[in-house]
Amino acid sequence: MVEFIIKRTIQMIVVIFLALTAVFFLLRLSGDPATLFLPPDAPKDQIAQYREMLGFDRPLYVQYGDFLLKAIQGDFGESLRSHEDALSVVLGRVPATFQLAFAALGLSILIAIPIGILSAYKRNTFYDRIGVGLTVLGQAIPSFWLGLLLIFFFAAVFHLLPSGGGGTIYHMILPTITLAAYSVARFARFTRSTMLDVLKKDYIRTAKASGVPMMRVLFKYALKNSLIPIITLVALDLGVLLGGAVITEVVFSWPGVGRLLMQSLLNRDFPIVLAGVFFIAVVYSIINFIADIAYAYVNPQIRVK
Amino acid sequence: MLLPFLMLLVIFTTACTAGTAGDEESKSSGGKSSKKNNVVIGIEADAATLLANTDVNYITDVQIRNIYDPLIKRNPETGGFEPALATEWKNIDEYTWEITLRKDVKFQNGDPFNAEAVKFNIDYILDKKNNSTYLSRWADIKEVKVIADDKVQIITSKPFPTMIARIADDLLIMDPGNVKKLGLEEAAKNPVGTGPYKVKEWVRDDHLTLIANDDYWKGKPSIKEATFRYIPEFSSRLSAFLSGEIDLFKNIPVDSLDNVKNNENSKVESIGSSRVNYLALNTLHKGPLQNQKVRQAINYAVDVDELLKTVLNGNGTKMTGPLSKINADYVETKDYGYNPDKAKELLKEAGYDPKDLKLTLDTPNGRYPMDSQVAQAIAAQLKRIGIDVKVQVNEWGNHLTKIQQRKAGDMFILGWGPTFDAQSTIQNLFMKDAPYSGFYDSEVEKAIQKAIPIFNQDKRKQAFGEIQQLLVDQAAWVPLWQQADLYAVNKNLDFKPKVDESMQVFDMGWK
Amino acid sequence: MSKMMIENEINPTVVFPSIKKKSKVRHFFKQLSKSKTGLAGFIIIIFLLVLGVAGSWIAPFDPLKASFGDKLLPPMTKGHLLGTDQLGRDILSRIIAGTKISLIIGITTVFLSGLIGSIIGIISGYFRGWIDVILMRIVDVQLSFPFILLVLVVNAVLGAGLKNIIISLVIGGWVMFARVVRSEVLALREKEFILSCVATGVPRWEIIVKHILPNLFTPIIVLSSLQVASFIIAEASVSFLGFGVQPPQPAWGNMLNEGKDYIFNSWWLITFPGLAIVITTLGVNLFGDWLRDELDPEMKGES
Repeated sequence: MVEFIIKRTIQMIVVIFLALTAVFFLLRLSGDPATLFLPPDAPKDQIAQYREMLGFDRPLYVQYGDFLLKAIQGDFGESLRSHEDALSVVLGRVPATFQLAFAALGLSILIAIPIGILSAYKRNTFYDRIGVGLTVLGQAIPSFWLGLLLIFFFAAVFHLLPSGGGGTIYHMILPTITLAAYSVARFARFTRSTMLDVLKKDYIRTAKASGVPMMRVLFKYALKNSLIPIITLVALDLGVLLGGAVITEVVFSWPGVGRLLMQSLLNRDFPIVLAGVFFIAVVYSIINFIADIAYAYVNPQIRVK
Repeated sequence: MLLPFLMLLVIFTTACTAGTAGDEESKSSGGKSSKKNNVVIGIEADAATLLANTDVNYITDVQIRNIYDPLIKRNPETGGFEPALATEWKNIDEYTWEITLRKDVKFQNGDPFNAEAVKFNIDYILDKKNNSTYLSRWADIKEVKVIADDKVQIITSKPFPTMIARIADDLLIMDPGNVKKLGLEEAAKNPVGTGPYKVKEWVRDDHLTLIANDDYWKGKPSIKEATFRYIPEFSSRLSAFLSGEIDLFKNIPVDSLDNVKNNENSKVESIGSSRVNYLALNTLHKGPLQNQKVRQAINYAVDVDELLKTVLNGNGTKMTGPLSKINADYVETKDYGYNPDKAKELLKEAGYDPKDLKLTLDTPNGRYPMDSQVAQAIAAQLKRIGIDVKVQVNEWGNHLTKIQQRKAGDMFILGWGPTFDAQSTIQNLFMKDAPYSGFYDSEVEKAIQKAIPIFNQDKRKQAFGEIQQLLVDQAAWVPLWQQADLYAVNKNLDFKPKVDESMQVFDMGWK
Repeated sequence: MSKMMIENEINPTVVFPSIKKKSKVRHFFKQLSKSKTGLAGFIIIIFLLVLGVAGSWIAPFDPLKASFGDKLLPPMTKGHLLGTDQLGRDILSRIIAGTKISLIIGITTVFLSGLIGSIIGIISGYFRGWIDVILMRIVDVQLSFPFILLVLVVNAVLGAGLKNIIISLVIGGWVMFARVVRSEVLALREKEFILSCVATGVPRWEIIVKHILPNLFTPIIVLSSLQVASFIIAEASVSFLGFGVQPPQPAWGNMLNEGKDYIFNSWWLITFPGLAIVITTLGVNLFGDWLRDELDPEMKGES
């Protein structure tokens, strides 16, 4: 087990390194940001000067080497726009994104698990059909469209909730619902199928036969044993949530890492994009890492890989 | 059983700390504005820095102009020069400008405003270490001399006829003492100027809150507190405005004007902007448009009045030449008008059958009012005489890069501004080496080179007047219009738009 | 989803039953008619295919024709069933035209990423060694990043346009196929019938083409059915964010992007293209679910 962990940690580091490299070169290929940061009436020689100041005139491998050296120390340079330390800017937005992600996660678990349990318990009845129907629908609705619809109803038509920005808990409601929607569908389906499998098991039948009340059977035995695979899926989905957060943050102007990344991509603010990519790659890798460990723990056969 | 409770705990704590996403202050000052004492302005993005003279973007400038004062400002309706921190200005000779400063003005921290401060600020721009994006515009300054406590002389290395425009548009005065004491990084977050407002709090990418400087030299501001809230999405801004969360925002898309007008708590204020939109007929791209007759034909084939009426719902002021009417050097030029038959005739003369022409039109999307829609409308108009136009919509960064690298198509849409004088427009858009130019003609180039250094204002105006006629004759553009700046304003807020696009809270008031 | 979990769940080693071709088709439809949801999905897909192919004849208006006098008309005015957009173009016609684009993107990306991913998976899984190590490291790098972000960054660099969005999606999508195919090949090459081929000196290429490939069809189809929907939604998301397919080319994603500024006065601009996406994804998912259940009885009842 320890060997497995060490191996995966090394893998993770290699992977992050390669990801940074890839993005670095991709960005450099997309052109240089001098155009966007200088006034439109800047003459050619100032543009050249600016490029020189940013170091974009050096050969690519030199730029890359310099970048790596500094990145290892956590220095991704300064934002081309605000001249603040890039990594600090990214880290400063992290709490907002995490808040959204965790709230969405919490909400989806709160809604999905009861739906899944009910569906499994009342299999093939009316409740089940509704539950399954909702989950299928939930996986077909693109999150940004849901976000737009929610804005339309709650902000445009009924003026109940703000349509964007951060700050108060009211600003958080719509984005959280939007982000949670897809996860609710997945969790509910998974809970249902896991519970169905567990409910077939012998020890459940034994418990039922010995007169244990149904509620107790459901929660004490069935749910408990379904939890591990469910938790694993939840851990995995945290990664999906991070990805979905980008879109949700843009639709609702939520001041998180996702929106920062989008704006920086559009502004060609390279240091921020790189710092953001680094951060996301690290977090995502850690999440996958934990998920894989949890999974390996549950299925011992996998460890021998 | 423990687990569900853990989950609930997570959600509960998350919900409670939700208020810290951004800031608690916004609950009080960013929420529903208590009408009498503060104003909330919605704006697209955060300022890059709160230091003056550093970032040339409008977004930064509009916010910090409440913290700092300029030496010279522009009249809100005509764009003419008016005293601010400077009371008089004149040339001693073609290389020397002398500026007399206002006496008894203090910075917000008590430091005196004087000639040393002015020198400091100009030197700041010129110092390469500061990476000011204004540097290229001030490159011809040789040195700044302190003559007396209230007199400054600016010496230029070449005659610099547009010096005053530069001072009015670019220069704001920071307190040297503050910058020296805190260093640039801290001063960028804790600025000190002479202006009517001080910074109360700045939460990046969320909002900037200012409070009144009661010792302001022009008098006590009537609005005590002002907040700029950053809302990048237009529909979010509109929603925030309609629900009363913000009191003012700029740039209402023309199709949403009715939403604002029909709301009983709001009104629309507008002004003809100094920004111009145009269709460049790219002579730097190999193709039929390198022929003057073809360019003239295109001018006859595009119906600008129809575009203005149907795409922009009438919001804009038509232009017939490269300069707008509020530009100081404007002269009237002929209007080609809409004449599709003449267009076909000219094309025949040039040797082209319109049905065989296939042209490309590059446009950005959302940078200028209805830009990509205008592009598509132009394509439809040209199709009426048989020309096939392919519209290429570019993301903004790509659009600029294409033009710079001379990879743009036969025509492209661009805007320019703010621009109050001829040189800034003409020098940058019609010369061979200018990064965003789409035009080159040797005769025009020579004329521009001769006109730039002319110091005598009348001779200058004449020279640029002739150039304007040349450009219209050469059909370098299909000139479109001056943008109409459209502001959504709370009905009870007294706000008059200014031609320099600034939003000065000091000049606003609640009824 | 973690790569490990997918590999172990999509692991059908069911070899396609060798019934005669004609009965296979009949069998297919017979099974299909038994499932209400599967059938519904299938019908939706056929409907979309018809729209995609014959769209230009069915559409009531020219999707590209701008008519500024008729802009922002509500649904059911002047013959515009679903209304017009900000340039006066008929929304119904644009949605129909957009079907073609979505189909092209969905089919092409799945096909290309499936092809590339499978080839790489086969090479990696069968030949192993250092080439396997390198290829899998590349896969890991890509998987260390949320799919949508990857597609976004690549597309921002490549620039807008149909060709580039397909490339971006394929770059993001091949890894799944590679991983799954590789684990299938790894399992297969240990099987008796393969080992005996090797022992009797059958050339490697023959082994791969004649024996391994046929057994890969099922997992590839299963994975494809899972991926199509993600690709369609990813493309719509990227176009919505301002990259991807650009106007005036009608694509559901960019229609939503253009329409979002009109939420306050013209709700139909975002409602109908969004519905189109939902219905398409629903159809694909329903049919895909049924297909998976059919091909892999082990997985019946799972997520």
